[in-house]
Amino acid sequence: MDRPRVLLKSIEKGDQAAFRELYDLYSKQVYNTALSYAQNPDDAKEIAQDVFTNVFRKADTFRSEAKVSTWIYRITINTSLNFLKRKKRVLFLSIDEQHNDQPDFDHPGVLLENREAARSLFRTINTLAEQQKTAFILSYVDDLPRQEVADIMGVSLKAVESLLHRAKKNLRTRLASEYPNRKKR
Amino acid sequence: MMENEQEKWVNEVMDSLQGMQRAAPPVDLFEAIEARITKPKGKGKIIPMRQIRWSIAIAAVLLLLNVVAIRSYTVNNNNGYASVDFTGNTQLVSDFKIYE
Repeated sequence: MDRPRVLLKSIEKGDQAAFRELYDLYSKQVYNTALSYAQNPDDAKEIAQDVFTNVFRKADTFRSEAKVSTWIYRITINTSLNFLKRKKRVLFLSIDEQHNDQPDFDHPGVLLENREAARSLFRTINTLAEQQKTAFILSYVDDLPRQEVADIMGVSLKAVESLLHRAKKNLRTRLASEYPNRKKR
Repeated sequence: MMENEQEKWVNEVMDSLQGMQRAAPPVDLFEAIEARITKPKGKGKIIPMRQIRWSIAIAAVLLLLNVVAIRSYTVNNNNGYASVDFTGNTQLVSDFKIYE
């Protein structure tokens, strides 16, 4: 049995040290995926808290045929998407219109010379359909191999390729339409 | 010319994540998670949004029914639909000389 599985077995019994070790292994992965979805460090932190709380409480539900990282990725994606839906609902009901405009996101890991362009890309990623967005984030932001993306999303490799093709096409079209206004933002 | 510039900009944006590093999680993240895990469950109840929506809809229907009832009561009273004399008998016809 590999180390992450051993850790999960110990976490099932409430082992805090094992939980800390699992956190050290996956916290960067979880936080970065959450950050790509939320595009806001505070929200990403809250999502990461939810993810690890779920991992601790639901360690016994892990099915051994999957990889631990795949299972954690799935929890992260579902938590992120649910968080964004909840936030959208709250913003919709909010009277304060200022809160409805999400500011442009500066990813701290992007090279300085690419910051401006990456801001436009993240803004446009937000307009993609859920499945296309997930495929794009896992493939191009998290830089995962296509097969792993397929495993996480529970679809075939061909379906991932198709989602990525459509995602890139949509991004290019939407960016092209944004081109005349790019300096006004 | 303009199209070339636009194409160039789109390519630049699409390639903007190249060489990107992963962000470091906040230093206090683990402490926040621990605090959440050790917090006793069930102190606050989360009410699902669907339940809130149903409650609002039911309250709105009840309010509407009340408004309709009050309105129809007021209108009917003003029209003198049925007048009641002080002896307590409902007066249906005021003039009893019906065979004249």
